[in-house]
Amino acid sequence: MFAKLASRVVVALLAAAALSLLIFGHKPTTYRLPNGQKVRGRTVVTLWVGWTSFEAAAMRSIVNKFNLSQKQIFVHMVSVSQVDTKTVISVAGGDPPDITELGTADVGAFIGHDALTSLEPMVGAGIITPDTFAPDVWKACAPFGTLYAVAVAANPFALYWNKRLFRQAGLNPNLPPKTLAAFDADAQKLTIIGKHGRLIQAGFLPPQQCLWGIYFGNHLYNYRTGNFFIDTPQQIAAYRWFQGFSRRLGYRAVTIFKSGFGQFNSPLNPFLAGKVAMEFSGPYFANFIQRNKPSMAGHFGVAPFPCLNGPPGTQTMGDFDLLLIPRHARHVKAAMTALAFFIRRSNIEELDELHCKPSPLSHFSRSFIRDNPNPYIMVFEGLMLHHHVEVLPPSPIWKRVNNELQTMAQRIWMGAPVKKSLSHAQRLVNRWVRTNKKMAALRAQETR
Amino acid sequence: MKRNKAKITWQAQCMGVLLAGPYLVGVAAFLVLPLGMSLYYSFCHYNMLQPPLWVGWMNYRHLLHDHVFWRSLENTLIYAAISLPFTLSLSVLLAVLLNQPLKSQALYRTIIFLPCLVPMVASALIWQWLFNSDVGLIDYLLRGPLHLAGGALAWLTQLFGAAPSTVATLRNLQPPVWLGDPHWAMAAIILMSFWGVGQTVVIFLAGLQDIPKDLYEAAQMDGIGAIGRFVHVTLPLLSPVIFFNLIMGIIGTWQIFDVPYVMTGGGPGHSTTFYTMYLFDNAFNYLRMGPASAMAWIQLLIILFFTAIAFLTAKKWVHYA
Repeated sequence: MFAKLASRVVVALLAAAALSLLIFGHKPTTYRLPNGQKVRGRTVVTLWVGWTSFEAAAMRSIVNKFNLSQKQIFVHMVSVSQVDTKTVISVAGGDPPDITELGTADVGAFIGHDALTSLEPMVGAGIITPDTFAPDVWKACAPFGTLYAVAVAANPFALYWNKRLFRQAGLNPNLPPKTLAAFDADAQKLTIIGKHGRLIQAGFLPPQQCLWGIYFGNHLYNYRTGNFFIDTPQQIAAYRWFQGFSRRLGYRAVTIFKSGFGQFNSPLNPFLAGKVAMEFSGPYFANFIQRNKPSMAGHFGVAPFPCLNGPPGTQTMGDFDLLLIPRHARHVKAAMTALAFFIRRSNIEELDELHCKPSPLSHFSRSFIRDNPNPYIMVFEGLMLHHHVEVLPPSPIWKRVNNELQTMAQRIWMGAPVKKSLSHAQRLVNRWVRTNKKMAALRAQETR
Repeated sequence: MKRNKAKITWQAQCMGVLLAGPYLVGVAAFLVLPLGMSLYYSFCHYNMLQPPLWVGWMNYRHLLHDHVFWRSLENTLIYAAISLPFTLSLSVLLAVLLNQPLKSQALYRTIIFLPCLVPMVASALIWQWLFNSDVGLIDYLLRGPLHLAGGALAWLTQLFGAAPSTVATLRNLQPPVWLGDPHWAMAAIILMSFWGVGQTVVIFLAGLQDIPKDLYEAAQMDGIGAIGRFVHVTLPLLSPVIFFNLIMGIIGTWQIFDVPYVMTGGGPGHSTTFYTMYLFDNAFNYLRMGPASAMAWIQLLIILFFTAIAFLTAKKWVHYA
C-alpha cells in the first residue's frame, strides 16, 4: 500500500514539476526592432545603463540606430537602478551584462578587483586612440595605462547663478564672481536672514562633497602610489572655507532651511525655487532647469567655479559617463562593435545634445554647439578642453574612503575642528591603503 | 508479520524523507550552505569578484580597531536598550486598554494595528516629513507649548536674577532639529519605533484573552484593586507572552536597518549608523565580504548572548500556568 502511495506521490511531484516548468520555465525572449520586426538569428548584447527617463530615452535612440544598422548584433538596453552594485553582483554570479554604464570612481574598484575586460583590442584596431578623447577623459578611461572604458558624456562642474537674485541684491547679473574672495562676498550679499536668525535666502550652500580641495590646489589621489592627500594645507584651507558657510549662517538655521528643500529633479529644487542664489552643479542641471522651470531660461548664468590660485576653472571637479565590458561578458566582440558605434562623433553628439552635456571627445562639430539646447554648452566645452577636470579617485577602496570623507565633512559642517578632523581621516585612510596594498600583494603571491 | 511491519516502517521512512525532501533541500541550499560559507568568508579576504583568500582572524582583528564598527555597536545597543523596554511597556498598556469592553473596541484595535500594514520604507518617509524642521507637523505642534514654557521659565529665571543671555535663550525655545542634530536623530528613530507596536499589541491581546476570568473575580472578591489585579494577575499570567515578545524584540532591534537607512542614512556624523547598516555597507558598498561576514557572526553571538540572559532569568519572572 505504501509503495503504491509513494509511487503516486512521486508521479504527482514530477507532474507538478513538469507543469511548473511549462508555465514558469525558460522561454526565449523575443526582441523587436524599433520598426516592429522580430529579431532573428542575431547576437544579443545586453547593455545596462543607470540613466532613467529622458536621459535613458536619449541613449535608446542611439541604440535603436545601431540595431537598425546591423544584421548580426542586437543591443538590448535596460535601465537599471544602482547599476554599480548590480554589476558587481552579476559579475560575481558569472552572468554580467555585455556592456554596463558606470561613473569614473567605479572603474578603479572594478580594475582593482580584476572585474573588467580590457578594451586594448579597440586601440589595436585603431578604433580608439589617446587623441579620441579629451586628455582628462582618456585618463579616466585608462587610469593605469590600459584602456578599460569609453566615455560617452562628460560632466564638468561649474557655477550656476540666478540673475534675478543677483539684480535684487544690487550685484551685476552678468558678472559672476571670479575669485573665491569675491564669491564669498557675493554669497553674503545674496543671503537674507529673517527673524530669530531664520534663513530666508542663501547666497550659496556648499554641498558636502570631497573634492573642494581641488579649487585650492589639492590633488586628492596619487594614481601611481594609490595614496590619498587629505590633510594637506590646501585641504585645510578648503575645509575652513567650507565650514565658514555653516559658521556664518549657523548650523541650526542652515539645517532647518535645508529641510524645506524639494527634490533635485523638481520645481522645488532650491535653486529653481529661488531659495539659493548660486549652485554648484554639472551640465545636466541645465536640462533639469528647462524641464522643471522653463520660465528661468535667460535668468540664470553658468561660469567656471572660482579657484584660489589662477583664473576660474583652472581646475574643476567632474565625472564622465563611461561604458565598460565586465569580465565574463558573453559577447565581448559584439560588445566592442557596439561600443565602436556608440563613440562615433555623430552618435556621441546626438546623445550629449539630449543630455545637455559637453562631448568627451577631443573635437566637436559646429552643429553640436549651434543646436545644443544647453545655452552654456561652450562654458562646459571650455572646461573640458582647456582646463583640468579632476575626477573621483579610481581607487579600489574609494567608496569606503568617500564615506569617511562625507562623515568628516558632516562633522566639520557641524563645527568640528578642521585640522584635527582631516588628520584623523588621513590616518584612517592611510591604514586602509596599507591593508589594501598588503592584500593585493598577498593575492599576487597566491596567484603565482 | 514482524518482517512485513519492518518493511512498512522502512517504506514509511522513505516516504517521510521523500515528502520532506524539497524542504530539506531548501534548508540545505538556502540556510546551511550560506551559513557555512559566511563562516568561511569571515576568515577570508573576499570581494565577490576574486576568489576568497584565507587570512585567518584578520577580519575580526581589524573590526576591533574599526571606529565605525564600535559606533554602530554602541548605537544599536542604545537603541535596543531604550526602544525595547518602552515598546514592550507601551504594547502591554495598549493591549490592556484594548481588552476592556469598550464601545467600538474593534475600531480601536484596527487603528492600533493599521500602521503595521504600511511598509516600513513608506512609514519612514512619512516620519521624515513629520520630523521635518521647516514644515514638519511635530515641530508645528511643539512650537506653541515650547513658546509658553520658555516664556514662563524666562520669567522665573529673571526673577532669580539669571543672566540676560539665559533668559533670552529660554524665551526663544525652539523644537529640536530632529534628523539634523546628532543628539536628536537617535531620539527621532526611537520615537518612530513606537509606531509599529500594533503587531506586539495583537499578540498581547491574544495572551490577555487566555487569562481565566475567574482569577480576576477571585482577586476582586479578595478586595484587590485594578492596579493590584494588573500587577498580581495580568502580568504574571502574561509573562510567557512578554517573554516571547522580548526575544523577538531583541532579534528585531539588533537587526534594525530600513528606517534609519531611509530617514537619516546613518548620519549626521554616524550618529544613527546601526550595526546592520554598517554590515550592509561593508558587504555591498565596499565589497568587503570578509568583515561583513565576521560582523554577521558577531551579531549572531550578541543576539545569542542577550537571548541566553533572557532564558536564564526567565525562571524568576516567567510563570507558565
